Amino acid sequence: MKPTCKAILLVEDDQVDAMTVRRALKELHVTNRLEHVENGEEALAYLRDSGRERPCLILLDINMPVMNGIEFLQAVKAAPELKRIPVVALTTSDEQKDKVETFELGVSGYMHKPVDYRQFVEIIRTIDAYWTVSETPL
Amino acid sequence: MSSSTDVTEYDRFFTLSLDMLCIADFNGYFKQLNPAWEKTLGFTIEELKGKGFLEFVHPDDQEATIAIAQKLTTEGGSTVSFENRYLCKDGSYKWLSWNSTVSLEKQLYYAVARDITERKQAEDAQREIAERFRQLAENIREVFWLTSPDKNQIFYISPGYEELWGRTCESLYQQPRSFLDAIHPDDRERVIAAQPKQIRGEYDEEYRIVRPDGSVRWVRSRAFPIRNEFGEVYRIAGLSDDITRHKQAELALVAARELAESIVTTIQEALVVLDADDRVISANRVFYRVFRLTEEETLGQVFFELHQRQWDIPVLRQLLTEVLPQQRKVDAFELQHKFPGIGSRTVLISARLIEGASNRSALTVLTLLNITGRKRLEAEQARMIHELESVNEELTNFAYVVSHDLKAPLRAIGSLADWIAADQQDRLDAEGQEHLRLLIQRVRRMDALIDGVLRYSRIGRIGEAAVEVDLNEVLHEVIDSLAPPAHIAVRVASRLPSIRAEKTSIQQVLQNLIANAIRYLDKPQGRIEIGCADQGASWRFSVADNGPGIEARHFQRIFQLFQTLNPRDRVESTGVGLAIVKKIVEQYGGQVWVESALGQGSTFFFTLPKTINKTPKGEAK
Repeated sequence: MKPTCKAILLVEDDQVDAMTVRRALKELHVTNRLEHVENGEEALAYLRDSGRERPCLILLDINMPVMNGIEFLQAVKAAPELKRIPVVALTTSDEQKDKVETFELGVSGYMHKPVDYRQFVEIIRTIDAYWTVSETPL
Repeated sequence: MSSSTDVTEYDRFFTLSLDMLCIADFNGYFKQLNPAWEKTLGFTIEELKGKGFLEFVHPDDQEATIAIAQKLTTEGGSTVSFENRYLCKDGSYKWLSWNSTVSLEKQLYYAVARDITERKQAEDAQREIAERFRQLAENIREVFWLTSPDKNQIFYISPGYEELWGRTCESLYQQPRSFLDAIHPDDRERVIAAQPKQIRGEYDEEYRIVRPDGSVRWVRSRAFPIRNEFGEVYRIAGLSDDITRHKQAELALVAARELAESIVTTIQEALVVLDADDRVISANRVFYRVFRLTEEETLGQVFFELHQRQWDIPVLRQLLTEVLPQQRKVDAFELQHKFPGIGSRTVLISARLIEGASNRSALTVLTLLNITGRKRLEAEQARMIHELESVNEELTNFAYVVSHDLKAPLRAIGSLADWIAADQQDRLDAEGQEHLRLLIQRVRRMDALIDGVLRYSRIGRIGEAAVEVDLNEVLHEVIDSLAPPAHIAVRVASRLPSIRAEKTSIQQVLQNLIANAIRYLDKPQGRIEIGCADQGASWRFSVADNGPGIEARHFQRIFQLFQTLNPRDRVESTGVGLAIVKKIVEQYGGQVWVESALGQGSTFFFTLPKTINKTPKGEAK
C-alpha cells in the first residue's frame, strides 16, 4: 500500500480470519495500520467518527452479524463522502448472486478466502501490490 | 231371289236386318238398300238408290274398294271382312265391314255391311295407349319389365335396362334369367329366394348390380302380378330403379349415426340430451354409471327432478335456463356440489344449445365430467410441488450454510494449524510435525468435499441459457485446459455435432470424464479416445481410455456422490465428478454408463437427445 494511505479498515467478524489478514500483512511487511471492526455497523461508526483518519482501503467480509457486508456497502455508497473509498470484498461465498450484488454496489474487487493459509497470503500480496500501483482519488 | 213368293219373304228379312244390306249393279249403282242404311248413315234410301256407291266411299279407301269390286266382277266368288269408310249425311264417316258376293249371271253385287266404327275407334284408342306406354317406358330411367310368372319369358323390357344393367335388352330377351347374373354375389341368393314373392305382389328388394365395367349400382326392384279374366296370374310387371345415390346417402347416414353413437358411448364424459322442457331424451352409459341412475329412472324425466331432485342445484339451473339460452354454449363450467346420495363431487359441465330442425324444438346437449378424483389429485400435486419447492429452498439454504458456516471454521483450523507448524517448529518433534501436516491435508480435503457438494447442488439450480454449442470447440477447450501430460495421447475419433445446450454443463461433463481418464491412467503410453455415434434420435458420446479398468460390480457405485474406488491418500478425489456427469446428462434426458474390464481400460458412454427439452429451473436464486 502507498505509505501516504495510513489505515486499512478490516470489517470481519471471524477472529481467526482477522488474525489471518493481520498475519499476512505483517508477513508481507505492509506498514499501513490495520483497523479491525466486527460488523458493518461498527465500520460505519468508525468511518463517521471525525476524530479518526479515513482508511485508504476497506477489506470487507460479506456474511456478518448485526449488519452484513451488503447492507454496509449500500450505506457507504449512498454517502457522498464515503463512496470513493475503495472496498475489496473478502469473503467465503462463491455464490454468483453475492458477486453480482457486491459489484452492483461498486466494489473494487471480490476475493474468495481460501482455506489454505499460504494461498491467503498470496491473495493479500496481490491486493497489496495492486493498491501500491493504483492511484486513488484520496 | 229367284221366285216372286220368295221375294216377299226375303223382303221381310231385308227390312228387318240390323246389318246394312244392299244390291248394286256392276256399274256401281245401288239398286236396293234396306232401312239399316238410313239408320247408320243418315241418308234416306231414296237419297242413296240409283247413286254410285263409290261416291260415298272415303277418298282414301276408294282405290282398295275399286280393286276388290273389280276382283269380284272378274273372278266371281266372295269377300269377307273388307273394311272401308262411308260418308254419312252429317259429313262424318263410318267404318263398315263388308261381306260381299256377286252374281256374274245377273251382273249384281250382293253385300252386307256392318258398322264397325266403335270397334275401330276402340282399336285406335288402344293403339294410342300402346304408343304412349312405349314412349313412356322407353324414356323413363326406371326399368320396366313384363315377364311370365316363371320368369322364363320376357314380354317386354324397357331400354333403361341397358343403361342400368349395362347389358343389352336383346340379351335379356334371349336369356330371360340373365339379369340375375349381374347381381352382386352377396345379394344374388337373397334376390333369387325372393322371386316367389313376385306372384303375391310382395316383391320389393334392394340389391347391387355389378356392371360389366365393374361399377356397382344399387337397384330397388318391385313386382306386381297381373291377372287374367279367370283371376290367374299370367304376367308379372315390374319396375327397377337406380337407387345408388339414395343408398349411398343412406349408408353415409348410417355411418354418421354409428360414428355419433360410438362417440357418445366411448367418451369419458357423461352425456345427456334434454328437450326444451329439460326432459331427458337420451343419456349415455357413463351418465348412468357415474350418477347411479337407470335408463327407466331417467328417460322422459325432467333433469332437475332426477334422483330425488339431486340435480336441482341453483347454479346449474341458472346455467341451463339463463346463461345457455343467451350464450348458446357453456364450456367447462366447474360445479362443486355435495350430492345427498353420492357425496361431494366436482363436475366439469359443458353444454350446447342445438336448434331443432323445422318441426323440432331446441335440444340441449349436456356433458358432465366427474373430475372429483382429478381435483383431489391436482390438490395433492400442488401440495407436493409446494413441498418440493420448500425442500429445494432448504437445499439452497443448505448449500449456502455449507459454504459459509462450515468453511469459516475449517479455514480457521487450517490457518491455526499452519501457524503452529510455522511458529512452533522448534518445539515440535517429527511426529508432531507429521500430525500437523496430516491435519492440514484433511482440512484441504474437507474443503474440496464441500466444494463438490456445492458444485453438485448448483446443477439445475442455477440456470444458464441454452445456446448452439459446437462440441468440437468445447472439446478442444477442455483438452487444452486439462493439459494432458506428454505420455498421454488424446485423440478425437469422429467429428462431433453441434447441440443446443447450456455450454458450461456440457463442458463440465466432458471435462470430468477426460480428467478422470487422465488422472487414473497407469500405462507408459496412455491413450484416450473421444467418439460420437449418431443413434437417430440421440447422439452417443464415448470417452475411452487404456487405463486400469473398473470391475463390473462397481459400475453403478462410481456414479454415486462421494464414491471413490481408491483410498483418498493415494489419489486425491472427492467422488463428485461422475455424480455431476450423471446429474447433468440425466437432466438433458440422456443416459450415462461405463463398459470396462479390469486391466483392459474403460469406456464411458453418455447419450444426449438431439432435441433437448430441458427447462432451466429458473435463474440463480
